[in-house]
Amino acid sequence: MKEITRAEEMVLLAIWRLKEKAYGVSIRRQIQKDAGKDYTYGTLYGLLRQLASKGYVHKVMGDPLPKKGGRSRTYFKLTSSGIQSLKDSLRLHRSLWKNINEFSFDES
Amino acid sequence: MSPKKKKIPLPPRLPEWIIQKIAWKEDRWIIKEDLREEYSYRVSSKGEKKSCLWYWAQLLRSLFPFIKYTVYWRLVMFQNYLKTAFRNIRKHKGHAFINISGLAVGMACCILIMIFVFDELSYDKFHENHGRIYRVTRKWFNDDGEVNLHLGHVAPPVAPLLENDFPEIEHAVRLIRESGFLVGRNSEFFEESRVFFAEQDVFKVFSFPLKAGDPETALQNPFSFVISEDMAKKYFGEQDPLGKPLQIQAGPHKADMMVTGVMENIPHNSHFHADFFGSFKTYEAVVGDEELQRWSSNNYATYLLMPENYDINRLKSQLDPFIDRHMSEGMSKRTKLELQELTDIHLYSHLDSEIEANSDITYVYVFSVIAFFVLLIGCVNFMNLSTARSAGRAKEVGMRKVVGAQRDQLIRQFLSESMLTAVVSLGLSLGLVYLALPGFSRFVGKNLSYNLIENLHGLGVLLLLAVSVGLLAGLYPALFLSGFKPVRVLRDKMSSQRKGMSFRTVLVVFQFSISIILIICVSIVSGQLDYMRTRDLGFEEEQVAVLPASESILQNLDDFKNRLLRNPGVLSVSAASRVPSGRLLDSAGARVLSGETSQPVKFRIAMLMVDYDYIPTFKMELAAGRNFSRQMGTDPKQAFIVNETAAERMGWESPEQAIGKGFGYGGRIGRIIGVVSDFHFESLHQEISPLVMFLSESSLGRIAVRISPQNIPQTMGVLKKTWAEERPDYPFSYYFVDEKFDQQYKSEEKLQQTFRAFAFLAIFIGCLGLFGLASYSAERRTKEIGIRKVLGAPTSGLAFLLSREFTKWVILANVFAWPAAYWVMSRWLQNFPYRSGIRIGTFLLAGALAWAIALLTVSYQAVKASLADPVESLKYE
Repeated sequence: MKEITRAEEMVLLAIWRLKEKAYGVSIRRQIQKDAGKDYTYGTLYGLLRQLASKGYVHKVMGDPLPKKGGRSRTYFKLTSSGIQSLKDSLRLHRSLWKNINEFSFDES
Repeated sequence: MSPKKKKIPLPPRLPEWIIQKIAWKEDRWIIKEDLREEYSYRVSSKGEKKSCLWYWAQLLRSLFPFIKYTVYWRLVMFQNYLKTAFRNIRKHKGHAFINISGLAVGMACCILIMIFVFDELSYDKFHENHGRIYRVTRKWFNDDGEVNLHLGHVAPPVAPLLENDFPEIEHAVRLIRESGFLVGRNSEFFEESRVFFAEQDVFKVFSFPLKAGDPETALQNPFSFVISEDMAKKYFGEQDPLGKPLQIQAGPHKADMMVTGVMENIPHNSHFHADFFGSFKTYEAVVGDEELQRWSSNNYATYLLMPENYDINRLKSQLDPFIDRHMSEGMSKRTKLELQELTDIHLYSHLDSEIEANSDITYVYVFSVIAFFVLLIGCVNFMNLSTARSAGRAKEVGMRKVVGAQRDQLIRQFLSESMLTAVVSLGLSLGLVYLALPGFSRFVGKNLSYNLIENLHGLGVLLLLAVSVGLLAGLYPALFLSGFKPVRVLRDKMSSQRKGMSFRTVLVVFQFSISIILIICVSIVSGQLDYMRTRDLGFEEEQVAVLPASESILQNLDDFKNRLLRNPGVLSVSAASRVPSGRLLDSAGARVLSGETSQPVKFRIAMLMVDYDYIPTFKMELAAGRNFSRQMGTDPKQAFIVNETAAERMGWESPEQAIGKGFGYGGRIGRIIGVVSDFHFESLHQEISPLVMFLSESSLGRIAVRISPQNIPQTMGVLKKTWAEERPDYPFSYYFVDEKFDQQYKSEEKLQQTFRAFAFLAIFIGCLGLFGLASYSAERRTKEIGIRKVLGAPTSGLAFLLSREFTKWVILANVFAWPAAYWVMSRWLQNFPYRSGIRIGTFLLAGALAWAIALLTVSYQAVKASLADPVESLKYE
């Protein structure tokens, strides 16, 4: 499994959290809420392309929305390898941070 | 398309449009929609103004990722393109070889010619002041206002007077070149032909850096001598030449010079080359003040250095009054001074006198055009073969399209492929240039170097060349191949791609046209050259040796002649002011006398001072009258012989009519005693001009010796011995008239060789392409040939079938090539007053030659295909 960057990880997590409702606007908002990062659409879609090329996400055309004049949104979904990479990431974090908490840094 | 609903506020158009342009293609639409959605939320919560600002901020902050990812993806794809290209090259080695070698040869030609052209254009630009140096030239007019002489040298008073009258002239310098100088040290003498005398400011006007000595004072005093590095080595070896003496000798004059400076050798791209600069004061001291006041002694190359940003027209308009003021009132109708930019001399100046022979801008153009066409033929090969091979690539294109390649990506892919080919060819062509440069340098007669490639400028030009060749050659195949419909190419066999045929035919016809034009040019240039070399000159030019005369020889001319004539190898000897193969530049005013009236002749009649034996020595023919005779006491002072042209233009209907007519020329008055048949004194570039001969005892600078065709070396030995007795101080140097004549056609010879070389290359590259094309054409028809064979077609019939197509093309190419070649060559021939004419045979022959070459190229493939076992061919595909 290729390692993913922190930014990619955030996008993957946002998509996972949003489940069926992950599309550009909502992903951006999710990241803003969880990580406090204000990604531009340029950056966001750059990351999404990168993830798509690695096979972690794929695009799904949604049903036409009555509100938007009959246009459909494009949603992003995690692939199974996307989910696997999130699991890997979690495991990595766990093992890296094993037995460490905020107080561990106080004793010099 | 989007229905406008008042509820949804739309983002500002401009940034939206920009985002649409720069975002990557697949996500463009999604991004736009997302942004619109978020924008509408923002408008409702924060107001339109803030949202608008936010939108702009989004755009600006997104620029970097957009560009970054675009570049990244391009690079990834580019890698893939390169990989495919390399695979393709490896898979189709023959095809790649033809493409690359064709392009490489074309590019090598182009680079060589670029080196040559840049060199031609660089003449005299090494002078720091090159933009503000002007040469003064002088024109003379006939009474009818026609220019009859235009010299690059002017009279000695011009420079000082100009400097005096026009204070804006920063420096005016005179240079005089004296030929036949002997320079020596310790009584060992060498003949030097590049000795100049120059005024001391010469180093302020021209940039000839001194290695030793002070440029301010080096030429200040009489008898100072500045020599070039090469000469310093030749005369002094490793010693320091400064302050050392050198002797010079010219005719009766001798002088002891002192070396006051050593200058760097004058670079080859200068319109004159001096090995020695003697100070002008030396020259003054020797020839005396009187010579320097003479307006008729036009031997001084005169240069002016003007201030920066000076409008030269101001000075030009003052030159007529200047002549009137200093010569005599109204003189400016007969003679004018003109100014010529220094940097124009090499390519644009073809005056009747130049310090050295110049080149011509026409050759620069001709060379450039040819280089361009040779390169174009290489590119055409590439286009041809790439489209011809489309069948092979069609599946690849189909697959790429099916997996989602866009057309512009495919175009990019094929362009990268052609660029790759172009770059590889460039590398190969640099190798070729490296190999060919020494030979090419020798051929154009200059020391060209590779430094074009060393400097950044040249490198940029080369890369530009490669890229533009890649684009030019790749664009059509790219458009053609990328246009395939995937469904069709994947389902059908691409065996009958007729669509590309027409354009490909155009390309092949174009290639052949160029080749045929070049063949025609070669044969017409050669024809003209042969014509000039073999044309009857009106006298016998063979076996006449010319030696320089000297005072002592002229004083005892008859004695000298007799001593030579005692040898059986020497048939005739004559002394004269000029001999055929030179120019006829001297003239004086002529007039026709009848009774008391004197009618001035309105055109220029050139003069030739001769002795009694001139006409018999050159075996010229007399149209009427007689030759000068020793028996006639009046001949030395009063006899004139004119040529037919002169007699005709003076209005006498036949040569006989001219005999006995009163004639005055310069200070002489007398009668015309003979009319000599027209002969070519000058090269065939010049029309035969009116000419008068008369006897003289002085100013006979050359001695012509007609020798018998037997035992030439022995006769020359005798000449040398007699010469050594007569002029022990002077090395024996001679030339033959016929050789000198031939030398005058050197530039045509160069042109002929150039055309021949490039015609060969063009045909070679064209044949490479044709060979490739023929092989594909044969491959495409493998099955057809198999069936025909099974049905009993003979091998010869099949070969004919395959060649027929090409024959059609060659015939079509002739249709285009003939008028073009005719137009170009008839214009070229107009430069010559005596021309060989254009024969239809030349055209037919060129066409036939091109056809034969094409047939030969194609027939290999045709025969191979028709000999193939039909069982194999039918299994094909």
